[in-house]
Amino acid sequence: MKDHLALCFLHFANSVSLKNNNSRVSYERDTKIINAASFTIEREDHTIGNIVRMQLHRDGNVLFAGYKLPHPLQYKIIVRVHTTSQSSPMQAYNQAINDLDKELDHLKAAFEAEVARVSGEY
Amino acid sequence: MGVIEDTAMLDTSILEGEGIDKQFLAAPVKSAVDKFQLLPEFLKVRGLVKQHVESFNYFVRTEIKKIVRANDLVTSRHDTSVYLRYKDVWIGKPSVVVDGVTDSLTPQKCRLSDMTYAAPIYVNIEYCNGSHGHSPHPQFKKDVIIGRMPIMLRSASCVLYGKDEDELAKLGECPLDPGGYFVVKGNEKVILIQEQLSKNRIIIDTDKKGCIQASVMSSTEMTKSKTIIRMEKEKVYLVLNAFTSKVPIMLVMKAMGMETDQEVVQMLGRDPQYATLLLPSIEDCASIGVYTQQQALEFLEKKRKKSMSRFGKDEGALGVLRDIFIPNIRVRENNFHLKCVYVVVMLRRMMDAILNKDAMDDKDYIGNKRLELSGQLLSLLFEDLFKSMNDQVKQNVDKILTKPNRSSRFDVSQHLLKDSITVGLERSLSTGNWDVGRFKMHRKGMTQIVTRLSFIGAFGSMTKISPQFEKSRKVSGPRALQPSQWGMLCPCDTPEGEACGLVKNLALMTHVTTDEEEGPIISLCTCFGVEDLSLLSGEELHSPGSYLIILNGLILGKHRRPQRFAKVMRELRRAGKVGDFVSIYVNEKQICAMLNVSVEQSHATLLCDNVIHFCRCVYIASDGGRVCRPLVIADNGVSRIKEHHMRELKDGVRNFDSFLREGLIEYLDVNEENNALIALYEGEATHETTHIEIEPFTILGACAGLIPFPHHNQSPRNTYQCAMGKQAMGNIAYNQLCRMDTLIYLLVYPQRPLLTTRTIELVGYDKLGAGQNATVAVMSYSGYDIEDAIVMNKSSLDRGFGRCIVMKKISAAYQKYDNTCDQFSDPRKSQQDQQKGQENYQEKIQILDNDGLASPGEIIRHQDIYFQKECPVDPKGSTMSHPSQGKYRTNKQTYKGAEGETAVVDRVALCSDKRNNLSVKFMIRHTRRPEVGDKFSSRHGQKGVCGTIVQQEDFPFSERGICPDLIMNPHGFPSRMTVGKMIELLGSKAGVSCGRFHYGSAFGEPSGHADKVEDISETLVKHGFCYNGKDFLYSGITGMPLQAYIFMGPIYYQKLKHMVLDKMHARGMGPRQLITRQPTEGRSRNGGLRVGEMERDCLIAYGTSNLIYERLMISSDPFEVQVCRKCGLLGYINYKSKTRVCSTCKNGDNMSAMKLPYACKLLFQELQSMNIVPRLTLAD
Amino acid sequence: MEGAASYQRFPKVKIRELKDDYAKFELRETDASVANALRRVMIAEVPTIAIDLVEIEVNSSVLNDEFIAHRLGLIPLTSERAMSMRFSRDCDACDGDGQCEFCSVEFHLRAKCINDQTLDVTSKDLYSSDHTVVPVDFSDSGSGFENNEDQRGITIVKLRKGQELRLRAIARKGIGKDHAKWSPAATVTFMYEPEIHINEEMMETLSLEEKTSVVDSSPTKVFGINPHTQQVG
Repeated sequence: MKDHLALCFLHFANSVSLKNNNSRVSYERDTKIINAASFTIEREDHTIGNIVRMQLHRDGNVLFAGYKLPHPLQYKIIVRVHTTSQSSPMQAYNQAINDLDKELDHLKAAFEAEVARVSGEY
Repeated sequence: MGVIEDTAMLDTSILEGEGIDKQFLAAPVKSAVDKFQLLPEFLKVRGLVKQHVESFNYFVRTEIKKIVRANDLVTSRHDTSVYLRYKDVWIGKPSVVVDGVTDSLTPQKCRLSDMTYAAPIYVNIEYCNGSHGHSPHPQFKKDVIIGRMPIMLRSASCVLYGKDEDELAKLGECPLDPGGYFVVKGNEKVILIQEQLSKNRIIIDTDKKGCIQASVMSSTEMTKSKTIIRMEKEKVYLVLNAFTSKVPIMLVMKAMGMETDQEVVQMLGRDPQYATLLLPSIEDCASIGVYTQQQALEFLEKKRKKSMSRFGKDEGALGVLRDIFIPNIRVRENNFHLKCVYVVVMLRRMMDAILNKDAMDDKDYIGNKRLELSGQLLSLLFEDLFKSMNDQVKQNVDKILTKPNRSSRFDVSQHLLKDSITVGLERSLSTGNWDVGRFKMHRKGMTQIVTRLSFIGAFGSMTKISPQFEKSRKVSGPRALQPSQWGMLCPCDTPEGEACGLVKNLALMTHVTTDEEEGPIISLCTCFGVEDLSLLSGEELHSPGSYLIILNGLILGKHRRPQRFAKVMRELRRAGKVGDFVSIYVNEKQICAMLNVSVEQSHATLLCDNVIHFCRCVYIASDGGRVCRPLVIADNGVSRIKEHHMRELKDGVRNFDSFLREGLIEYLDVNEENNALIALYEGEATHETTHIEIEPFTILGACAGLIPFPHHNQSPRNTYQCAMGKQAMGNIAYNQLCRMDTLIYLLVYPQRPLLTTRTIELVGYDKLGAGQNATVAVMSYSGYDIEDAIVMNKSSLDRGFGRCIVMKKISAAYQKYDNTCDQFSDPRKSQQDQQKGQENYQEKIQILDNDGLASPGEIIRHQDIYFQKECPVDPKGSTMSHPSQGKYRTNKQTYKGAEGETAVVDRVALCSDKRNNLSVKFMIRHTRRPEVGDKFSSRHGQKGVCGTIVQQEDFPFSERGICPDLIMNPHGFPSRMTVGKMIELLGSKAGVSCGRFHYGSAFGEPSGHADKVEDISETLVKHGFCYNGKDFLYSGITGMPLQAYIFMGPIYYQKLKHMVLDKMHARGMGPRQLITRQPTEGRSRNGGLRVGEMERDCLIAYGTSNLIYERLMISSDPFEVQVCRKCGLLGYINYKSKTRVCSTCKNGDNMSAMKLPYACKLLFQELQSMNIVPRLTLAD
Repeated sequence: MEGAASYQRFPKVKIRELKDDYAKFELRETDASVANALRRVMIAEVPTIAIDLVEIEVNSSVLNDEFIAHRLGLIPLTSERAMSMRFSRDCDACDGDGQCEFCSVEFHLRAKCINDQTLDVTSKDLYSSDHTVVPVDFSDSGSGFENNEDQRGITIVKLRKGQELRLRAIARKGIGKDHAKWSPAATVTFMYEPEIHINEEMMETLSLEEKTSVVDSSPTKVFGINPHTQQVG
């Protein structure tokens, strides 16, 4: 079971870092509003959508961040970001992903340490 | 709070003080005895479909003997010394004769091999082949079979009778199956209970014009007729089928020998009101000039229909009056006195009705109705067939006897026909058409195939009562719920739509009576002081204070102390001296009406007796078809059943019959219920109470009994559930996997409901459930849940929720011809050239075994061949050649299933069918998991389709990790008002947390058969839930808590048989009809979807002309025709000479081509064929 | 713009309880979205091994083939090997038919009832080709089923005299999103830890009886009463 949980973290961390490295993410700028864009992430759902959204919300330059699952039969999400002129959607998105990646790496390390501590105790 | 309570108590005490109910206050405190245990005992003795079985047993034991005894002699017309007499008749054990060997039958065997579960009808005969000079000496023959009688399952003649569970299992039978149906040609057929107006009773009602009439439907062994006495324009007439027109009633009286008007008036009663009402009729009779019996008879003779002399003997008007006019009153030695009295009583009742509308009879009243059951219906059929057979025998014998020289020795007994009865019974049972010419009976749809969709559906067909009326009548009366249905017929279980309220179902404890001997009752009545009618003068008949005693519509006489008489009779019944189901009913209702009058005009009442004397009667009924139910007898409001009785019952010392024998319980029919004051609970009994209900929830039937807390629901919801419970998938029977029905729906993991009712346990629904306990969250989710759609959890479906098995039967047969027959073929060896060429033929035959039959366990796909045989090319000819030499071609059958779905061949069974051909049955099994569009329903008439299927991680979850199986929209509640469903949720939730099944029987809270919401809430709180069943949930999508607490818990959900897979349909190109060349219709023919009239109207209104053109022409049946511009008729292209010709003008000068719908061209041609010339005028 | 403020958090983890089949931990200094993402991944995206393909040789039991296949699929298998295994759809070694050693594990089951007693065929009767992938053994898990000696794993089907079941099953790697059988967790949930403040001043004014009633009012027994100080905490 312990291994299992660790596995969960590992996999989780992996899945986040996978996000932006290949063509699973496409970027589309909004034609009407400057500094607004939507990212279409293929083969992802609320798991990623929601944490990315929450992470973007923590960015002061992000005016709007939201995501949607366009249709229950389509396995993709669309993340829409609108930032101030100090930043850009791409930048905010990358920042959010990197921060999350690091956070989860940290989480994984922290968890493994904790597991080691607890199993040592027993 | 305390204050309020105090005042409330004060109020009640004041009320009680005012009521001065001292007796009530003084009565000893009664402790309620739990009488529930009686119910399972009752069902053990009576069973749920006992009415059918009992009726059939009665037919087999008594009725059939009566019929044979009544027609026991067959004598040759040619030689009277040649005769055949039936000595005895009985029914043997079910068996079948195969190749001369008698083989015993079991029901399961019959089901599987399409046989009829029938037993031989044996007779003992005495016969004489005629006197050949010397004195005839009779010969005897025993155990002669005259035919085969289909046997009702679980009846006394059935092999299943009295078998225990193990023995039943050995016979391949489900122990929970109720029986009560027949197996005819492999089909399970049940004879529906027929509802009818009671026979031989005076019914006062109005005809179409509003005239008051008294009618009697007479039915005796000899004749059936309807007699109507009608008041028309103040004159009273007799309407009888045997007369061409209506006849003045006084004339009829005179014809029956009551020549003086005074006698009639006297008999009617001294009250001048009656005389006044009768006066116009008397005058009418006088004006015709009829004064004597002779004159009256002559008058009637003229009116008589001459064609009525069917019986050969013609006895004139007097004969009509004797045999057709109220024939249930027997005339002995031409003494019409009794008949006269009967007519006068009819007249009097009619006049009562005129004077006081309350005296009208209610046709919808259950007490005026009789239920005809299988036994009675079969006996009618048997009697008819038996008589026909005897006639046939007589004819055959006569034919032989008239022959001048007979070659072989003559033997009457050889001429008994076996087939006519067997075939006749079988045909009627399998078609449901009861054509009994002898009794003027032509009814259709009397039998029904037992619905085996669900276990409860089978019960439903057994308790179903089909109506007498045609369904199109637009009157509401017969459809309305009758108060007298209480406890007898289920108030919930009726279909929706046209048969609503007409088709009814029996309640749980209902019993339907069978006929009982009248003789002993009559002699008992005379013993207890009934003054014989024939000894009474007219005046005495209606003397105040005396009551007429009427037994089964027959006036026995009168009695001066009716209450005492009734009491004695009832005591006798309780002591078992008279049959349990004899009802004694003192009609006092009409006295009450008089009392009302007397209160209003008390002066008049006291002074003279010109107030209405209603016809006061004691009705004794022992006829069959009455509905009745058991009740606990109470003396002065104290139940006779005490604690120790129930204890003895529990210990097995007692059973239901001993309760009956000792007079603790008795059966009351609807009429006698009117004389009883029945308390619902023991605690509610007052001093006047005569009976106490056994259990209140028994007013519901088996189907409605499944609903938990039905008394908290809006009533139509329960009705909907009754209809839906029969469509729910689940377990059918313990032998479900051994059955070969055409269609079986099964659930993979059926469960018993967490919230049960007592009825569920009694009928065995807990053993053969049809649904699953789903954790339901009542909330809005995803928008795919509008209009009652439900959202389902994908993981739950993965784990087996709602998974079902659909099994379909496909048959194939090896035909036999004159000299040849179809042959087995090895598909891999005997491939002919034509097939080898076919693409993927190898693939299509891969599931076939070497004998050309699909082997069990193989996966079968759409278009696969499952059956292949060799047919002779020429079945008629080649007489001399050996079967193996003839030419054969391959014949194959392909499976048509859903495309892309894989089914499995479950079983392959071989048996011989009726014509001794070898027939093969394949059961094809398909396991389905729920998909979007499948229909589900809870037990509260709340159906809905699956709107979407959502991943478990997206589903809301509680802090304990509970994740619902399905989500239901809360909008389903306000308009439906199914509070019972909410309580079910609460109860099941408490049930899962504490590990005890909770109960929700109807009206069960006071008696402990339903858990109270307060107690449930307490249990919930004890297990860490909120008292109101709401949970704190987190959104599975964001992880944030939901804004509201969500009502969540388990609810029993049923999967209904309607699934998208069987219904979805779309097509582009496809098959077309042959004559019109338009696309075919219907899913089964891969038909198109029609743009109908209304759709067309929309398109016209919208102005989309090209779309209309495309839909109605291009995509339908476009056709190019050649039209002659000159004559306007259609021509053709001569393909040889490549010219266009008009066949009317005989040339091709003015031809032009145009496009028409083919159907239009067809219409023109058809019109032409009827000499109508449709001409087309063409314009550019 | 590289120097933009980082919004990274450093969540803290504290394990409260850790058993073979149960774990409970605290997660601090992050928000619900992360916790929820963790939950969702645990349910749906962690690969495990489960029986995916069943070839039935003989089945004369009362349950039909699909029924048994479905039941086999839901049997949990030890899935340590899952990470090193390939998804059979991405497997190069076997052209996607999913029967090679890199992406599948083979199981065999042979059971026949020969005596009058009903034979329970359970997950223990499944023989694996790989000793690391076997049906999860619950008998020593200490989850309430212990010291039940004839606890023989998960019942697949019951056989009566003369009935036989013989099959070959192939287990593959998969994730819970595809089918719940690949979901590693029975249930995963989280909650905000409630912070309960007791108004000590008010509490002081209560009598012992009233205090006990306060303590008893909680269905989950959050509070205790100090027998010495009679303080609620």
